[in-house]
Amino acid sequence: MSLDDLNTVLPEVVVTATACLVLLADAILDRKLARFWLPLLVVLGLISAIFSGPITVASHTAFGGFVVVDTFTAFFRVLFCILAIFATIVAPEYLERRAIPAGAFYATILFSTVGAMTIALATDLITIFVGLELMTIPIYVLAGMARRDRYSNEAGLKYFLLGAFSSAMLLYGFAWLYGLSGTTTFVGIAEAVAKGGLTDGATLVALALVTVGLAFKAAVVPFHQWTPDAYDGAPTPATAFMSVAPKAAAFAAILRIMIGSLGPLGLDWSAVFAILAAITMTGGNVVALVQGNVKRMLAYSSIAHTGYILAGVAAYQAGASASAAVLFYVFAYGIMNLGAFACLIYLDLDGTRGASLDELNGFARRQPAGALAFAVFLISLTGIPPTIGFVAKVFILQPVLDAGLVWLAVAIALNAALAAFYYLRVVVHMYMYDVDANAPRLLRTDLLSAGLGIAGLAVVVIGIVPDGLYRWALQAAAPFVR
Amino acid sequence: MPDYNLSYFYVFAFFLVGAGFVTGLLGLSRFIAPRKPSIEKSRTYESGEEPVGQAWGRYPSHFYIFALLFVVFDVEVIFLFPWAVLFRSLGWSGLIEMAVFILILVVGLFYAWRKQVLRWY
Repeated sequence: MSLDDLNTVLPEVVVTATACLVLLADAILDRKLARFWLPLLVVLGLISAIFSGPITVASHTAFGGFVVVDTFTAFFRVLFCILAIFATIVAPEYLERRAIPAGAFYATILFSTVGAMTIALATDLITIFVGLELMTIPIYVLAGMARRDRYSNEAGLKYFLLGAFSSAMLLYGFAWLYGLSGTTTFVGIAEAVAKGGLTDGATLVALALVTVGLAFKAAVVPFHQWTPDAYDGAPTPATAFMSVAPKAAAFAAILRIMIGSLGPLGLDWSAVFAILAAITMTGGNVVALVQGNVKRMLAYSSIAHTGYILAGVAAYQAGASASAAVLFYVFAYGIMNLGAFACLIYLDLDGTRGASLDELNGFARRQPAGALAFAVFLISLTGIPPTIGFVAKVFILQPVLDAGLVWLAVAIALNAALAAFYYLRVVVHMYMYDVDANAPRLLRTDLLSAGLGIAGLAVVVIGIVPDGLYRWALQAAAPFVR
Repeated sequence: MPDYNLSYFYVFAFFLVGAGFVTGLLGLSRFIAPRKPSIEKSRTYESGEEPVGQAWGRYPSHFYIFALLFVVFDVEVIFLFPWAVLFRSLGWSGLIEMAVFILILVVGLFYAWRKQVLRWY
């Protein structure tokens, strides 16, 4: 290990150090000081992590070719840090109310962020697997962090069992890939594929195992069964984080592996992905329609969004615009979905469950700012202009049409219309119904409102002027252009 | 048949012989041994003591935390041994790397200690 190696992964080092500092501070400071300093420490650490890494950079490998920093890495590093900051800002009051240990919560989020960033760095199957485990193991802990709540316990256990299962499957797929190509580096595998060496049944086995493993991580139908229970039972700030960061990281892994190293494969895996995308968006939306619990509905809606993003992956033959659309959508999804889950934090309910539709009646009158933010996120998730969600859907549709997948584009459009019903129903309940007599108490949360305000503003502003972010996404997709 | 396939065959044959031997002996004793069950004979064996309670009873699991810590430091030692063997050739950078590695574990231990996890009660 040389100094150059360390310098290459400086943002990851900064986040790890911040996590250790948070643990130390939590162990030393008394409760009152900790309440103020811990979130501040986390946010400062993450911001310095963002600025300690380059934004645009020529591809640079380190650690003997195990790690690469390119524009793709830079994009995801910033995204993961932003998501972690957002998840930290919305959490403090909720954690205090539920007596969830705050220091452990923040440190766990930070460790998970390091894992996600490692996936973005990966240029080797081993690095990507280490990153995946480092990301998901803290998430299992986050899901079960409300120790006295049995739904939280169920969420943690279910996520752990299925996560471990999918990791094993992915690892087995990696082993097959290694056995076939004789190397674990993406470049080496891509070369072996380009030589046409891999077209037999064994490749099919490797491809199937890797696809299923990654599909589990990204919650693609029919590998999504853990998602609703895990998202519903986990403490809400944890749900907000685990519904976006691992999914974004799973798509980083999918882009690196499927397009970066298996892109030139003779087998047409994109057809499988197109079918999975259509099943996923339809399945998620149809089940979301009948949910009375808003948290569970958002969990199914996040499955539907996986389908939209997967459509962009399936259209990879359209070139850079497809990968850029995936990156843009992942960014948009990250902010609006985290925001939508975070809006549920206002409602001070028993346990970790989410609010029912009726409990949101008249929310706009009781908490105008929160309701406005929630409405903005829901409209963005629906895909109505002028929001980032609308722009993201347009960017996904273009490469899907370019790749000749007209039926998939039609499926996306139909699904967006279907989804509008259940998203806008929540808005109607918030704005047009009277407050119930036994409506739940609301948390007083200035920090949460501030965080949601910034995110809501970002959703609208990027929705009106998306060029900057899209150009950045195009740059980030450059490593996948041949 | 190539050599390595043949060695798989040996493993399989060994498995068959072993399974046959055990089934054969147990089956034989089933047929020729006398069977006179009594309450004392069919009672759960607890090393000669009178059996107490059910096997499904709850028992305290404080000790898991020490088992967990043991695993952590056991794994640490796995990394320390190869480092110690190559201590001279790795030089200062090796020393610093190992210090960082141990420091991270110490942070965890310190946290556990301050949070009263190590207290026995």
